[in-house]
Amino acid sequence: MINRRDFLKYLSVAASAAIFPSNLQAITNETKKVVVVGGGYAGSTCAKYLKIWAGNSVDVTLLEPNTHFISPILSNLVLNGQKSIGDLTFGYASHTNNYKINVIHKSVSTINSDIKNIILSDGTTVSYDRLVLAPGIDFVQSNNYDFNKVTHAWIAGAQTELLKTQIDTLQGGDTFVMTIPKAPYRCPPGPYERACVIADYLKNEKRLNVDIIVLDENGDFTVEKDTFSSAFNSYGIQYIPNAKVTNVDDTNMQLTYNNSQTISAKVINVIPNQKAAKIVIDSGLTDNTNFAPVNLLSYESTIKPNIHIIGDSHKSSQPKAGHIGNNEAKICADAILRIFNGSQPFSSPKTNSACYSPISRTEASWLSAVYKYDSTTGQMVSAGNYPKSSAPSARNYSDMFNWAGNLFSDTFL
Amino acid sequence: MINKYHIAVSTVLTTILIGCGGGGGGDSTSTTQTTATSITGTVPGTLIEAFCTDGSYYQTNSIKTGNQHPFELELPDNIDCRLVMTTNENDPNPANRIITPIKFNNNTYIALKNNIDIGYIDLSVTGKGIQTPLNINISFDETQIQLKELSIDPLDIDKDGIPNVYEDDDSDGIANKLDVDNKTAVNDLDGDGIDDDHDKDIDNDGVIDMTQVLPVLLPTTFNINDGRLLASSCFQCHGTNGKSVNSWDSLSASEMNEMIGEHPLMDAIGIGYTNDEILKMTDWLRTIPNSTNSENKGDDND
Repeated sequence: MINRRDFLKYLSVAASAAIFPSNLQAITNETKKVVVVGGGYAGSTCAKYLKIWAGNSVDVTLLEPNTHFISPILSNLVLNGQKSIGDLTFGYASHTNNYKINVIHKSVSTINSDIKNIILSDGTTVSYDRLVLAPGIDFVQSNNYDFNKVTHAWIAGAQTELLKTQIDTLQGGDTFVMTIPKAPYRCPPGPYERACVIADYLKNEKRLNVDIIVLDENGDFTVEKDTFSSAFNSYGIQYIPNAKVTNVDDTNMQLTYNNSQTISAKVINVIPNQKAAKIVIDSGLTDNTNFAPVNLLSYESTIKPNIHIIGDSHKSSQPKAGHIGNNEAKICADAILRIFNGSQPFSSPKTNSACYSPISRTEASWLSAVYKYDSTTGQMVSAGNYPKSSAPSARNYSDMFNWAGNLFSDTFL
Repeated sequence: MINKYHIAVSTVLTTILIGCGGGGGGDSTSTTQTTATSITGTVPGTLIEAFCTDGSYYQTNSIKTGNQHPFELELPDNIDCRLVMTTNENDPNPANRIITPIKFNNNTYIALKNNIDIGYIDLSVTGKGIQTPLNINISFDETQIQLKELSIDPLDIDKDGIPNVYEDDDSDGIANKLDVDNKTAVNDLDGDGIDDDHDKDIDNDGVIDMTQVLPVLLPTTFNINDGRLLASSCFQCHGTNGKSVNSWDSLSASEMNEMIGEHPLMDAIGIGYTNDEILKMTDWLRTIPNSTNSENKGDDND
């Protein structure tokens, strides 16, 4: 419905268009083109906010090979039957219809940064004034094994369903082993959260005495140590830090760590070490950390101009996660629009991170931090005594869905 | 645009209008259309329904062509849908309708990637009421469809193969969906087959419920606004332009004064922002329509 005031507003827009046609013409001629690659939390948000803030004065294309996005956030709740993959699936209809973004379901094969165009998988060419890369993560695989036998389930969807199916085959006396990658990796609390959710499901809901072993390549819990170590103790999870996966045998279902210790298990879930997505690495945008260094005022690459990298592929002290990826996307979108308008990026941006983690079917914890730009080092640094966290509670569990619900809507709707 | 593909029986199809509207004796309707077309008449054959996990619902009637009743049903690309076919679908007594859930190669869900013809389906025409699922073996290649079972099936909470809407909770031989004296048995206000706990579109108006926010009015130019950029960091938890889609607070200039002391996570994040930053955010929030201060200003979202 258009109410009276909105009607007057539309009318005034129409009237000014009639009075100043030459003005509009000038804007059309100068329309800048932004191409966003990747339709996850960072990319979808960036495309949306470019249009919310600049409307017709900027032309936005979103390139995403999949027609739907399946959220990794909350996906551990598929493993214990609290959520379905359908609950976590989002399309791009709002981007197309509400925000007038040109959504193309194709992947990128080449970036020609010198002539500012990209070549898509089908050979077509798309030019840009500014390119935003938000392609997420890729896995570092030290040995070859079949993800259909040993899941990662760290990109949600079929892998999540497969891990769920495997977990449901476990019987009393069986062993389940999962591994935690070396930091930095996507969603710092996620692996610990997964171990807790699975342990609660197997031991408290299914009443199965399954041996659960967690191998952590890091020297200790990377986040929320109090919460997770206490939960691991109560679930009887065997936690082994400083354990680097050195071989995965998907035929005999054996996992070797530190080249010396081998564990046989009915179900093995290896969350591999991570690096920037292939297109970022192939385009020469990464340094020796395998992530992409950027100017954190604009997320523009420090290696190649006019290319911005946001979300999990970029290099900074900010965590790799959907909530803060969404926030980085807004900083990047605003910076690009200021640059198009002959100005400089905002000089003192802040970002925040918040993450609810289910610990069981009824309780969740949370972790948060705020980051500020440090002009001396050019880094995003803690804006206070962070991180802050909350012990598991039922209130947090119900709050978790409000948090995720608004994050989903701010990103995809 | 989101692609849609067709699932069809019989290689000889009569012309059927697909999508909104429709005509002749055949009619496809979808809950994603705002103007639903009602089906009336005496078309013989079968009602084919698709219940999809994204909250959408599609149906069509087959059309008698000689001895066959071909149909064509348009479904969204790559969304898991389950099919139910009803013969005697126009029998005034719902208990006499023959309702058959369909499985393909022993899988409940089909996701279309391309058009597919599933051939002849040998539906029972002699039973009554809800039937055990009928399995159909089809040959296909991976570019056409994906078949699957879901570990959690929002359309069939008890996983007995009978979709929620076709359960018969009061055992009167009439499925809940058709049962006028037992409409409350299912936790499914809109009767699309998806339990409301999982339904993203509970009123079935074709719009995902989370989109119940202000209509989007895009600006014609970009104006620099530091307060807007700072405030946008709040939108992850409070919704785009501070419009929450759930029971968490929406943002307004007056709400900003009550930021600390209401919620532990807000307290944790709030202390990361300076008073000057919060003032800039508040100034920008005053310009947003429908905030508590919107009566004073009629600006759009710049």
